[in-house]
Amino acid sequence: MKGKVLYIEDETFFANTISNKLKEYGFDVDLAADGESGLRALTETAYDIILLDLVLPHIGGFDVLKQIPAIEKNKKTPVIVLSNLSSDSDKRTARQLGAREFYVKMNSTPSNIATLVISITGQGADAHISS
Amino acid sequence: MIDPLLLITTVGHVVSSLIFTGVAAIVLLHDPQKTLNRTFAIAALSAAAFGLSFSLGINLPPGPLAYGVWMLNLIDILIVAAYLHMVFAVIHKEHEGRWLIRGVYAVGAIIVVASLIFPSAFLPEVIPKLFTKSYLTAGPLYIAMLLYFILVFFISFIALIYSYVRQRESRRQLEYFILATIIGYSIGPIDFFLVFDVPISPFYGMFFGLFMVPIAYGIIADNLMDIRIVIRRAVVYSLSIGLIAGALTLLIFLNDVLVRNVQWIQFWTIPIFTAIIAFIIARIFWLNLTENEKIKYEFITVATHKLRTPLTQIGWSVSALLESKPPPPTKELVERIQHANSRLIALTNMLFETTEEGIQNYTYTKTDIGLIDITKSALQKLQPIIEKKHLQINVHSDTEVHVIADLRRIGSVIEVLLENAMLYTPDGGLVQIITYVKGNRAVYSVHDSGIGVAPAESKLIFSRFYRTDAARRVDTEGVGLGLAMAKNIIEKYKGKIGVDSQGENKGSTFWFSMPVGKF
Repeated sequence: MKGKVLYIEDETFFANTISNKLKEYGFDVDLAADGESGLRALTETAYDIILLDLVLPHIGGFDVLKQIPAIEKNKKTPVIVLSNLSSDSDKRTARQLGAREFYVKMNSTPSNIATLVISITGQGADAHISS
Repeated sequence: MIDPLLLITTVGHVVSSLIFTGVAAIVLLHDPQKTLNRTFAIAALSAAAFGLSFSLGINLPPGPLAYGVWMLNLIDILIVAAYLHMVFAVIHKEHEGRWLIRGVYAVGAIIVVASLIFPSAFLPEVIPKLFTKSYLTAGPLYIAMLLYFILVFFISFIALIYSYVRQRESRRQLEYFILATIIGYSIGPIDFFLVFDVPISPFYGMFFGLFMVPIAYGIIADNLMDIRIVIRRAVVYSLSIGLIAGALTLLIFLNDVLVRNVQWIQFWTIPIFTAIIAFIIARIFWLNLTENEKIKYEFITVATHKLRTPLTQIGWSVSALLESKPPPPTKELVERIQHANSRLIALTNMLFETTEEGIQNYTYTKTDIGLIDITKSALQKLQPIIEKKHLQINVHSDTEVHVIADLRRIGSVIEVLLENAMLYTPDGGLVQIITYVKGNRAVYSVHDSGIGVAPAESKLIFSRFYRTDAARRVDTEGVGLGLAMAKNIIEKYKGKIGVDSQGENKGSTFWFSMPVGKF
């Protein structure tokens, strides 16, 4: 079974790059361009992992993090923050709100992120080899 | 009825004293740790005390009270002594000139003590002179005080000129101090002519307070990006203050008329009014300075955040391109883009760490750090440059030196010091690292045989974006942030950081010291 990923990101370039990368590894990726549609997707579908940007239109990433525990289908889904915010206080807040990992996009590559997703979900790598 | 000249001279000296007090407070609060700021404050506060006792003295009729008040004028000894000390701090010759500075203070103290023991030899009496109710009269030994003034002035002036001629960097700042010294010493001694019965009115002495204002600005602003902007602004400020002082003088004339014609206006109305004005000026002055600094930091913060998205896009696109295994010529070009982009990212990260947001939001952890141990890790990282330049690296330490601090931050400080030493040392040169415990402080120093640092620049190089000409010539890529960041970190641990160098091309020793075992 392929892992199901939700990536909440308003920048199309980042969303498509990560989505394509994860699809190469056999993941099934849904994209949400803002916090609101991200939360809607989380209520409708159970995901294996959530990738979340912090600076988002309308509902920001921190607010999304706050609301996830109340969403039955995804309350235990691991969240990786992918943001270009990098201060210690942002990282601390994200962790306190339940984020598993915090990756600064500028200091990472799509391959690093894919590796992290694979290691957290324990899925996808085989799919990539078999494909 | 009060003589208008006496009134103006009195109020003028009071305003002058208020200006001195205001700038002394601003400069001292700006950085109470610096000798330059402290000596400026001592000189300015002594000048304020001198102005106040002077303005009181000229209004008292001859008698014991007037004599006592006039004796307080001896504080002027401290003005010139502290001024000389300040000049040596500005030209970074405090250490070399320490005996001279101590000597000047000692001779000054001797003159004060002698005046108190033998008052008749120095200041035998106070009598009415020109428009004043009482004024000093010089005794046979008063000439010692005058000689002291002239001598200390010449030493300060020659030290400034000598440093100006020898120095290539920051000459504009010195030009500015030289100009201020000339102005100060042209106006300052005016009050002394009448002591020797030379009929020059002490009226003009009240403008003395103005000369310290631009110096104060020069001291406060020495960390800003471009000293030329600082000087331009300082001139604008001093001219504005001159104009305000002129306006106040006009008000004093008006006050004289008002005191005579309007019953409810008292003699003290204008002094209080001027005190309020002086406070407002000082406040505006201060806000303006802090505002400029804020704008600079906000600009950097915005710039770093806005740069991140495009830099990430370039980085991710390039890594996708490389993963697609392009043919060798394309691969080489793409790798070059990747390398340049990584450098830009590193620079953006570094810029962010020097912003208020970066500094305040950084969480300092406490780790037991062995300075030798961390040096070895840093040397491993720097191995490519050591090999490329065939540098000889020596680490001297009897035992491991421990500090309790944030590992990443102290690691960055050590990396900055080591990398600088390596970058600015010619091929085949020597870099020595020495660490030891002195009292309850850990001392870490990196000695190199490189380009060295001119004395006048030894403090400036720890300012953000400051780079010496020699450093620019050797390494065109640097931005002048590493040492500023190191200073921030070390000061966070109540430590000190500095450089000792005999001058350009004579090598340098960068060092820091911080408490052992304390956070």
